[in-house]
Amino acid sequence: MTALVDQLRAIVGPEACLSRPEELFVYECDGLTLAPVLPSAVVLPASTAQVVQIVKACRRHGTPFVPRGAGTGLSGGAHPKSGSVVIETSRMNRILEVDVANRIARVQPGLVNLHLSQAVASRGLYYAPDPSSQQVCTIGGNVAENSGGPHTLKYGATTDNVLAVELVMPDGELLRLGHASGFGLGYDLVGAVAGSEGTLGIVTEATVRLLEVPEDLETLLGIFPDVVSACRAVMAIVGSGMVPAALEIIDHRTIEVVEDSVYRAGLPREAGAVLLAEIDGARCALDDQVARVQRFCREAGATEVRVAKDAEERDLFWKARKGAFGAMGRLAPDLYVHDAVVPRARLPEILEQVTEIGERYGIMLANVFHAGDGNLHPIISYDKRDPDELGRVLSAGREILEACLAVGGVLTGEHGVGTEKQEFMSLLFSDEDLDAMMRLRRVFDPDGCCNPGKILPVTRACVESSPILRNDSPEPAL
Amino acid sequence: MSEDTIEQLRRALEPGVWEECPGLEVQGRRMAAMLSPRDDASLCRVLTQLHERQIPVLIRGGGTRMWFGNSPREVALVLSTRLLSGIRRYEPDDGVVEVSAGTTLREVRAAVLEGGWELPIDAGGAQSTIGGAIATAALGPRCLGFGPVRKNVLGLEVVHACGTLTRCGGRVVKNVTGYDLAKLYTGSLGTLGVISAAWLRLQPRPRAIEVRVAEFSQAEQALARGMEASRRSSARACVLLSPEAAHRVQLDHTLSANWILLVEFAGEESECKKDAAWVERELGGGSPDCASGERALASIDAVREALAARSGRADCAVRIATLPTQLEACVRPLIQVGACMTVDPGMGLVYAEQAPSTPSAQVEDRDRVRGFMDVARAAAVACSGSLLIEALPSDAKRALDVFGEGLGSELALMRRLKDEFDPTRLLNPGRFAGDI
Repeated sequence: MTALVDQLRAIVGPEACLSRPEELFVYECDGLTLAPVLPSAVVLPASTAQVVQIVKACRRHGTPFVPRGAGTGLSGGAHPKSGSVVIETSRMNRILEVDVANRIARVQPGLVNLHLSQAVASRGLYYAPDPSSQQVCTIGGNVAENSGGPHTLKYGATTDNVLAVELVMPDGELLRLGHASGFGLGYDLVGAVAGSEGTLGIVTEATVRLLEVPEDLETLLGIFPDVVSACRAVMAIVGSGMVPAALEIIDHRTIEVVEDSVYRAGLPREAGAVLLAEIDGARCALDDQVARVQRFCREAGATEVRVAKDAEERDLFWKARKGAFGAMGRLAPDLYVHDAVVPRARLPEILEQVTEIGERYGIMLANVFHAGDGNLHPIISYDKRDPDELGRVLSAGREILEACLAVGGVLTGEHGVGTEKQEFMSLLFSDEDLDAMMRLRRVFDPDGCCNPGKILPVTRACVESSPILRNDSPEPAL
Repeated sequence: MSEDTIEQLRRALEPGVWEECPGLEVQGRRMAAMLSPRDDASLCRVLTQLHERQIPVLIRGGGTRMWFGNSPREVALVLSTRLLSGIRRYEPDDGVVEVSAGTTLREVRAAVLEGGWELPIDAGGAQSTIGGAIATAALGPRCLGFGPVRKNVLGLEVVHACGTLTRCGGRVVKNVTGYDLAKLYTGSLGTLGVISAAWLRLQPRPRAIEVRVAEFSQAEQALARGMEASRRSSARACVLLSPEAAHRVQLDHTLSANWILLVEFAGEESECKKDAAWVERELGGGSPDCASGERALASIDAVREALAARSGRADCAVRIATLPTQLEACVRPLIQVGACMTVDPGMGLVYAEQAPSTPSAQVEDRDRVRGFMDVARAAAVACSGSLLIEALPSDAKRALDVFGEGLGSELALMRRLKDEFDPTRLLNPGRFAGDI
């Protein structure tokens, strides 16, 4: 490893190559704090050429490598494998080109998501995918995870907003995939790379679509006696033919926690749930839609529907939503943010099950979720130093996933599989389905050296152990 | 492929699958028979039988895009998914539908109307099937509002060349569980597997629809104003028709020899009316007779069907994709050769075709075809666009790669994909990029 580290230092300079344990500590995990592992080294390249050289050096030494953006992922997608080199793209953070007329931008992977929208705001444009971590997460990480966010409902996830990428393949070859028009020729390799969790190569440049900032928007806060009635309002709104920009639900427990925190938004503590609805578009069309949302909310049982009277109040509503994870983090040393998707119409029954599961296992569980997409985010506060509590948290998480799958749902809507859910993949997919995924991976990375140990299960149909407690699993045979 | 092998296959297949099809040709190549399995299990068995005997097949849905792609290599059989038909599950509360691959777009459109939804796949052709539209990533004029096919495919059921049934994606509208193989299969022309069913995202029926038409004497002005129109917030379709293309569509209003801009606005009533008024005020546009309500759909539908029918009437048809501001550079050389064009200024797409010639002048035709293709290539280079050759006379097509002229080093990666998914090249051999 010393020889490799020397080579890495020669490529990026000594200040951009970390190898002392105290320097590596921060890279032992991402937002999933279970099963941390120290990498052997961390490199912070400043250019595509350096990424190519780093990858080739790792290959020469037979050392696996792990791409990493800001490390905000919640499924362990950037967890190092023992002995691996982490390639962090944070220094490649420039906007290379903004084409206002064609509404596209070419950016480096380390660019912070929100910085792109801020940079083009003066031109009346923005970048649509807005994960909760958008103030720190990077575009490269977003591409790897196919990140979503509250506004995915109307504007799609990352894969719908990325037109082309520059990719350093796991063998160091540099490829350009896709076309700035969005209509590349041949197989849709950009579509395959988006959401591949950094296992098919390292994105070193992305051409993304920019959208025109809507003429106006309205944000409403519906206050409900319980979460099921809030879900009914969501179904009525979507079923009416409206396409709101966002439909988010915050449950009673989260409201209490948020109101006790710095994210306090003046939410009514007695509410069983609140629905945050945002509508955007032409000014002339908003008032009628606001009236309809208010009506649907009241018909579903809302006791009150507030309409944000100005940008300040709108920000306050969103502060409660986006600060929910942080507020929950105050309750216990550790936080486990789950992610699953169910058909929207099944939300009420699933939420009842999630609550029952949480109570049965005696864990602190709250729900904040993208209701319009059917995307659940049960948040569990716990102390991982307590083995019994940790065991209950993991068992509850598995039951929640199984309940979601039973109604036609999937394992993850925006966080990815990573190490967190790889062993659950067999619950959703057959061996033949997984074999097809394995074939795709093998085409890009026949030796399994690029972000090994992610997505694909090591064992088939085995969820008896606690897979996310260990990070020493062998790479599945490619 | 020996006749004995084919005969052995015929006898091994279950009754009703094998159908003699005298006169059936695909891109100038005669086919011996069509295999039409009736369900997933039957499809798996047919592919297993083909795999055991290493017999290649062409994949066919409704047969409306068999002209698409490169000329097939030595293939004598067609595998049709047309009998895999029907709505498997419609979830109006969720706005998703599961359909068998052979179901026609027309059938799905009709089925989801009840419940208040629309199928956001806008390919034309009365017999076009869901499987065919996905396999060819077929586009229509409402791509602006609907998005490309890839955006609306939530999950797929695909049978691989060895006869194994696989699934990818799911029935929910948001999903990052594992690799997104559905993206890979979409537009792959059946070369990685045969699509047998799909989960699709639907879009709510708009509360209002307005259509407006404007005319321009100069293409440059038409392109610039068309781009503006495409960016109105309720614009769902925005197409610019060259004079020749406008005559073909036979719009329900008086046409001159000008470029015609046709815009469909869909959504909230007040927003549509505001945008329609903008066309009238800023572009001097007016209403066709069918400007509002259900009949308004007909004018864009006519463009959709005209696009779908291009291959049947033109010697050469191409699609060039570029950035909207580059359209002028693309269109200029094509105007000079009198190409019949439909331009989507919002999406940066140019569909250009050469008018058919008389059957009697074949030698001259070859020169005409070559000349048109040279201009199309120059147009694509001028706008840094990607050129897809959609229709060519069979003999001309055999001499080139309709996809491959714009592909670089990623072609090797695509070939490796083919090797992994269909190593002995049984599915649509030779029809995709780079002889895949």
